[in-house]
Amino acid sequence: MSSLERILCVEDDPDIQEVIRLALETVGGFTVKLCASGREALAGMAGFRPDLVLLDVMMPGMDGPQTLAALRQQPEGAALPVIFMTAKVQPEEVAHLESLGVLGVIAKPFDPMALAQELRGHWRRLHGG
Amino acid sequence: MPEAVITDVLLEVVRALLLLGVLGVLWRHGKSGRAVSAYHTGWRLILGGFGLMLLGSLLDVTDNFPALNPYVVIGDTETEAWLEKLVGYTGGSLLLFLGFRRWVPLMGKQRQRHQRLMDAIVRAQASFISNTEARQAFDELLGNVLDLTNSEYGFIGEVLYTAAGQPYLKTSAITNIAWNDATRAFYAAHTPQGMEFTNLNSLFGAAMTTGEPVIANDPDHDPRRGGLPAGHPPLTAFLGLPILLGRRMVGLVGVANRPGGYSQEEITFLEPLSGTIAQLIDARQATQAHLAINNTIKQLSLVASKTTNGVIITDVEGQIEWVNAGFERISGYTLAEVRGRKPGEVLQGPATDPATVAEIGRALGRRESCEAELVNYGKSGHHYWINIKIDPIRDDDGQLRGFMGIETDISPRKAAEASLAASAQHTQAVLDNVLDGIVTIDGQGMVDSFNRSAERIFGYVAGEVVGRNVSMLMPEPYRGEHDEYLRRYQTTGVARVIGIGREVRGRRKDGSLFPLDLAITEISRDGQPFYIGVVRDITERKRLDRLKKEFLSTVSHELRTPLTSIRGALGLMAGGAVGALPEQAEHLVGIALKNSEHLSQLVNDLLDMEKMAAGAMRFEMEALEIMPLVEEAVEVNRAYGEACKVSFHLASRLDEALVRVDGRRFLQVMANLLSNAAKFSREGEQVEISVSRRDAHVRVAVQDHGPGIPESFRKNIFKQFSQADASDTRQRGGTGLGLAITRKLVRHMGGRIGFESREGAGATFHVDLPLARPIDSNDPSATSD
Repeated sequence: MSSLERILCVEDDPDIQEVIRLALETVGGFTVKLCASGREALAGMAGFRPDLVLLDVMMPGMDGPQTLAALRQQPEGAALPVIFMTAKVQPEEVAHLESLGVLGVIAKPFDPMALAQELRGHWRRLHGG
Repeated sequence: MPEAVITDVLLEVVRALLLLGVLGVLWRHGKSGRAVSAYHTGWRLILGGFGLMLLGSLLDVTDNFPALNPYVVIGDTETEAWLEKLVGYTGGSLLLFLGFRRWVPLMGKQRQRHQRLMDAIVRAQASFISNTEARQAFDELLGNVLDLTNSEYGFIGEVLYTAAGQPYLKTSAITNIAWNDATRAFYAAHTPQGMEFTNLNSLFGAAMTTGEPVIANDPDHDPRRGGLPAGHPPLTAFLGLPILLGRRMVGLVGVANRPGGYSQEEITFLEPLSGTIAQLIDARQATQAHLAINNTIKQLSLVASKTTNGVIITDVEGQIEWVNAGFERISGYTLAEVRGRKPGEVLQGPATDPATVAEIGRALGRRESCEAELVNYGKSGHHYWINIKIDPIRDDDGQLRGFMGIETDISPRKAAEASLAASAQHTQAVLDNVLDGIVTIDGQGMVDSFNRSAERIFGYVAGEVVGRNVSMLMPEPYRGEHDEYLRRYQTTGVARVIGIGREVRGRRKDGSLFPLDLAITEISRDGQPFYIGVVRDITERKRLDRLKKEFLSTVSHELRTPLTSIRGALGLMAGGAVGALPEQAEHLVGIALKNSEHLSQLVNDLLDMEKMAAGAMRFEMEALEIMPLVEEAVEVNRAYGEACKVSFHLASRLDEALVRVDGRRFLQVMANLLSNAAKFSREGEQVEISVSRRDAHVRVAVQDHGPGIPESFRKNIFKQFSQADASDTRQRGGTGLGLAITRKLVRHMGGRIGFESREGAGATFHVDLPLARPIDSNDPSATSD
């Protein structure tokens, strides 16, 4: 089973970026690339080759779903596991996001100490763990 | 000439003239037939006697004129003179004597007969006056006539005329000559009211057509005879005497079978009778007519007196002749007070509609019947509505006699109408002004009424919708389905829409669709079903709901975003991800973290409460197995429990039990109960979760062994922001909303929540959820709410 090592994070809020970086790099031990916008993420895809994408939903410009759609157009992104992260946690919103073909939806606020664990959990389930 | 001769001659001439005079008078008297037949023997003798005397007188005169002597038959001697005197006076006297001898008794008899006739007439008149039935008078009279004319049978009758002008006879009295049972029966049946004989081809018919007396002393050979019915007694002589009143023939007297036949004498004899009979007939006719009118009026009066309606009878001028008790009661006026006055003067007043009065006047002027409703004023000045029907009254000749009005007091009806109208107006005003649209339809789906608000909502004018199928207000596919749906409801009684307020889509006139809140009730009118639909355009409400939801969503997002940073940063620090912190710093970070989590939870709770209050929370109910849900809940909250140093233990199971829940919301409920149980347990303690079956429910119970719930708090436990001890709140965490939300969620899912607790001995919270049944397509609760 392949392991989860490289995570591309797309988040426009710099404070949350910082938290994520610490949660995933320091606590989780992942290799993390942080992008502040969907466009930036798409541009950085080829170079970074992530195993998983952590995608914020509410972003100016291209929002999460739009970024996902564009990502799927790319050969590298077509089958890439994506997890949404969002503060919009109304059930119908969550359900809608889940229906877009992502691995999961993580609610904000989240526990930074458990974030890495959670991602690994999704990864394991994806790969039959 | 010598003087003695002249005196002689003069005396004789005088005597001769006197005799001539007497003869002349007698002759004329006889001719007139007034007293006695001129041809009667006695009368002839008397005439002869006077004649001879005249002759003798003439002979005496010629005595003095010898020149005339050759013409005298008798000679010139004393014998001659003697004979002259004999012939003249003796012969004359003898004849006179003989004549008078016959004539006087005859006169006597005649006078007697005449007297008897007069008596009969008087008696008839008396009888007529004293009896209302003229028949008796006529019967008596006929009897007398037969007697006096020595006739066997006869009749007295009226001559009437058919519409075509043909005369016919109606008997007032007739001798009963019935000759067999049939005729006896006929006589018995018809004599009272008078028999009618129309055959003009008969002897009496001849009298009727000519108006002249008819004498037939040889009826069998008389060309005027009509023949008699078989069995009729033989007719040997007949006299028919027309009775004239002025120049008009009003009656006929017929007598038959006088021995020796009839003659002018009988006609003359009966003459006084003729006048009387004419008058009697005329009087009787007048009486009958009068009686008829009287009867009619009597009948009318009887009806009028008994009826509660008012009856007014006026003359042709419209002046009141008579009113009944009903009128007196209604108007308050007595007959005496209104007689002679016109209804318009007495009974009308300011509120009386002049147009109606004019209309009535026109109809009466045309001598036509009419009917109207108008206001009358009573004696006391009170006014009331009447319905009056007026008919002209005519007598038998068709002449206008007056008018009769029948009035009914319709004030109660008018008052009821006015009240009803006012009530209807009020109802209409309410309907018009109510904000909701009200549409009623009949059993076929045709719109019966469409109030003003409905017009506003749908954009149609009522006239465009009433009478048309209500489906015109619906978009497809409902439009096509509605008729079928209505029919199905009426035959099966299964309703999808009746009684429930539900949200549907409507279609405006301009074709635009919009959301409607619809509530329908069924009523019955005249035994037919009608449906009342109350519609409310909820476009605005939904817009506001959407705005609210968007706001909630936005607020939620906006609150959570900074919270994420806060929570994240504090979590990392507290978790040691950025290195060890000085003890004090660590402690403070811990405080901040706890509160940021609290704040997070509060945001969640607040949003949940708001959603539930706004009815915006959506539940997705499914039939799910209870055990996997409970196991998942325990698993998800285990970490929390461990943080409180409390363990969760699944004490009992209920496998293969399905409940109807929204899985996500159930987990939320369990999270609350489990976290509460953990929060209120002492470190190291255990929280037991048990699942059991109770009738049609599944009970999930969470038991802790903490301090329990104090008595004073028990009734507040599910209220918002209530915690047993305010000081505890910060310590133990929790927003104070958990149980309130939990209870709402449980109830929304059709379940119940309760608890048992003893202070100092822990608490057990239990949730009962209904066992799932197979989903019923007709079950309204099966659809998502």
